[in-house]
Amino acid sequence: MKEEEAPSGTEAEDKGRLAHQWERRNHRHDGDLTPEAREAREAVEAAYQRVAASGVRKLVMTFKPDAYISSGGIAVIINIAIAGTKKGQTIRLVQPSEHFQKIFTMVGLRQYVEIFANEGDALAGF
Amino acid sequence: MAAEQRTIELQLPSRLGYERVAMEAVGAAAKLMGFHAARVEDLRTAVSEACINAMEHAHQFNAATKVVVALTLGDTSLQIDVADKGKGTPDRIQPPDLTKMFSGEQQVRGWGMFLIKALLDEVQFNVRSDLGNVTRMVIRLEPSDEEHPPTRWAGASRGRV
Repeated sequence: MKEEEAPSGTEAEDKGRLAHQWERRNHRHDGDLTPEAREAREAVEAAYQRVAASGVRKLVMTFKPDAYISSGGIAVIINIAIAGTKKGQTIRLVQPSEHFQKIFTMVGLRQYVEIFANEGDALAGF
Repeated sequence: MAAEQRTIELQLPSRLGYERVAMEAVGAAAKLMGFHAARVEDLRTAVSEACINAMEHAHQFNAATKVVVALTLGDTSLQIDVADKGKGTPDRIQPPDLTKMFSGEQQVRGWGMFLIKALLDEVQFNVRSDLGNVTRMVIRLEPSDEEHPPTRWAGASRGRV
């Protein structure tokens, strides 16, 4: 299934899985905003727009264990969370480090997104 | 006799990505000094954000203008000065408010300064020194740095965290 395609059905699980697959291919960002990573940021934002346009309402974003996320990267995540809220989407974050879990709590992001220890748990019942 | 102080100085081009060099250097120094892993991470993030602020707001990402990062390793403390050639940080900056960002009342920005202040106990902005305009950050060794085991990755747990 290509990421641009709409989910095969309306089952929440399918949609969640689509988001999951999209995430695995396109959204393992490290939050680094170096010129190379700026392109990654743009790719993340573009990928989100594509997925959102497909009607997906449940998204899973998985972090690399050693991800570096600057304030610019946090802003990208916040902007996606804001857009998702407006579209009625539910966003789950998977395995951000303890440090970034703390930071997400500090900035207040955990009011708007859920955080899970692994992708399986994030997708279970989603 | 004064306690021994050791200094390390880095000069970074004002280009995004080089802040990670400072992060790694500061992280290595703090780790060698025995700071708890979680505090090392806090420091790394704060220093990164201070460098990015200097590169962006003071130097407009002009790579030729260097950001100086000076580490002073004391017996019980680590001081990091991030110096730029700018005019300093405005005294009053509206703190970021995520609720207002979600309602559209505030732009999604301003998290760098917020994180620096939130993550560290001692921060001074606009310190004037021979290096220029300095953001000064200090962390001090505490008993808790020795009492706690290194941070374990949360992936060891299951379910929602």
